[in-house]
Amino acid sequence: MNVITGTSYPAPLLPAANWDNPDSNSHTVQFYRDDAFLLDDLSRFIGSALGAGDAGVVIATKEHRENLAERLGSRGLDVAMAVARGRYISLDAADTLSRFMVDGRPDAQRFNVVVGGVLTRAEAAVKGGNAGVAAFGEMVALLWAEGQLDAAIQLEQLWNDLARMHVFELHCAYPMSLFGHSGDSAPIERIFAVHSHVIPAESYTELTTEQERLRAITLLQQKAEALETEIEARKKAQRSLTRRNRQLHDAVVARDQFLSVAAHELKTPITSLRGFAQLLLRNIERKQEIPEERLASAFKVIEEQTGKLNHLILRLLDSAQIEAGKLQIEPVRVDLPQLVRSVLAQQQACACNRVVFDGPEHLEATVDPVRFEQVITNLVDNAIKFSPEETIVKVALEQKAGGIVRLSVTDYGIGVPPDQREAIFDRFHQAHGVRHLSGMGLGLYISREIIELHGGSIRIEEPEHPGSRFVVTLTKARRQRRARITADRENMA
Amino acid sequence: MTRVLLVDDDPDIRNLIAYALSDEGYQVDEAADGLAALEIADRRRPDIIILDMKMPRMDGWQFARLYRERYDQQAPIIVVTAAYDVADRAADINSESYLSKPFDLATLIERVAAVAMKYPRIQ
Repeated sequence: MNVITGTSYPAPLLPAANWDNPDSNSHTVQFYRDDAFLLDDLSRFIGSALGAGDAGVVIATKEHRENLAERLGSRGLDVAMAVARGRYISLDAADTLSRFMVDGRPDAQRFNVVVGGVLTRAEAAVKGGNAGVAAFGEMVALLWAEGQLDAAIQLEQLWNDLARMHVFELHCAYPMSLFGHSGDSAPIERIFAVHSHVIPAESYTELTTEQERLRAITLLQQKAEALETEIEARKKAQRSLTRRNRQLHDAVVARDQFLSVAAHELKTPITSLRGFAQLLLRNIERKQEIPEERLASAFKVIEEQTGKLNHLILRLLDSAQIEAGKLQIEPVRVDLPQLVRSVLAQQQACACNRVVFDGPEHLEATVDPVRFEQVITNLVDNAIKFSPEETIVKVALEQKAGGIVRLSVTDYGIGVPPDQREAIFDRFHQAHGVRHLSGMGLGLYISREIIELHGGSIRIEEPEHPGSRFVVTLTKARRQRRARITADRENMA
Repeated sequence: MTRVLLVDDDPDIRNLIAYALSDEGYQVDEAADGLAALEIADRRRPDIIILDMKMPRMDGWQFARLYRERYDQQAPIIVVTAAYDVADRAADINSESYLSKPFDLATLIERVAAVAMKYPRIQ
């Protein structure tokens, strides 16, 4: 028992100068959750003062004052008589407050006139003997509820200053609901500092034995601990959500951008297909003879442009399959140099850049020939697309130790800025922006997926000259597929 | 005969427009970019210019600026582009008219005829 009442109490919270005699001039702060608890306590405090012949001053809300009067009456006190004799003064808190607040701060002089005047009147009513004044005020709680913390503390100080001239016992009360945030600890300590006594809310004060109180304190400490842990967990969850939110936002932006790029990519083939169809129809309608050369041009356009459309559709389907995790490969034994040469033969027919191949006569590997051809075509197409016409594009194939196969495509073009070298493999990413040349930003994304399905890797290297070099590495053993997507999902969690 | 200078980097589109306009009795010169177009304009002054905006070497903006700097007597320009903000781009270079790709061939022909009616031939 002595543990509590002895030295373990903190030093008395008295503002030094104002509290010469804390017994007669005590300034108590009471916290409460339930109005009924406050009113019980208050009717006891005021009731016993009035019962003992002291004066009572109450500056409270209308509701509290009415309720208090009722309770005092039921304690057998004649409230009307006490009021008539000036021993019981009950004032409205908001109204009284407005009489000394100036520019959002309590004015000391006005406070002394208004509140000091009330105390003088109360003192006069009980003049003589040892009678004192019991005062209750909740103007500070009103200020606090409006967020005027500084004004509330200043008001508490003014009450303390008033104790130099008057002898009274003061009770303040704050509802606990004003301190519902973790950041309210420091402000509540400011309230402690301007009071001589602090009475915790009912969950503590209603306990009757010290043992119960010790248990209650321990439980509160446990709750505090649990809350700290929970707050930390929530902060972490919040950070993770924010990150995820940003990723989703980026994905939506990328998709929107992709839609406009895809629409643009479709415009070109549609313009010539539609145009040539309309041209020939016009000729037919006018019964003009259509020269063979014009017909040939039209059919060539139809053949080429539908080919481009077909390519666009296939890449869109690939992309959709990758997102669904359904892209599959069918690896067989393939002679890689032969595969590369056949791709280059198709390229040479249309490209202005010279594409040279450097590799062994034969090199067998287990790959999906259609998909692997798609990758080589994509890399060589890119190399040509981003290179001046006169430059060459080098394709090199070599067998390294340990059954590793390395395929590289090197160009002397505009290269890839260092900050783009990771993102260039992302879906819809276009390193050189939407306005440069053409494409939907799917090629490298699909190529990387194909190579990873083969258990290989693809990366970009900075060659010793301006331009870029894409390197595909295939290992003998196929690694765990879908590793990257699994990792992404884990990052989300 | 009204002379049209057709500037577009897509050979299919050039072919198409050239066929259609020659059917209508225009004389058509073709250029694959702004630079080639300036050279042709020097040799044979066009009455009307049909201009794509996005082209390699020299784009539509640069061409329009240089063309306007170079000649006092200027041909009206019809912008034909796949850009989504075609109206803004046409306004950028103070063009007479514009069409967005894909366009209707009939509309293009009408547009060219209207511009040809409005402006006297330069030569």
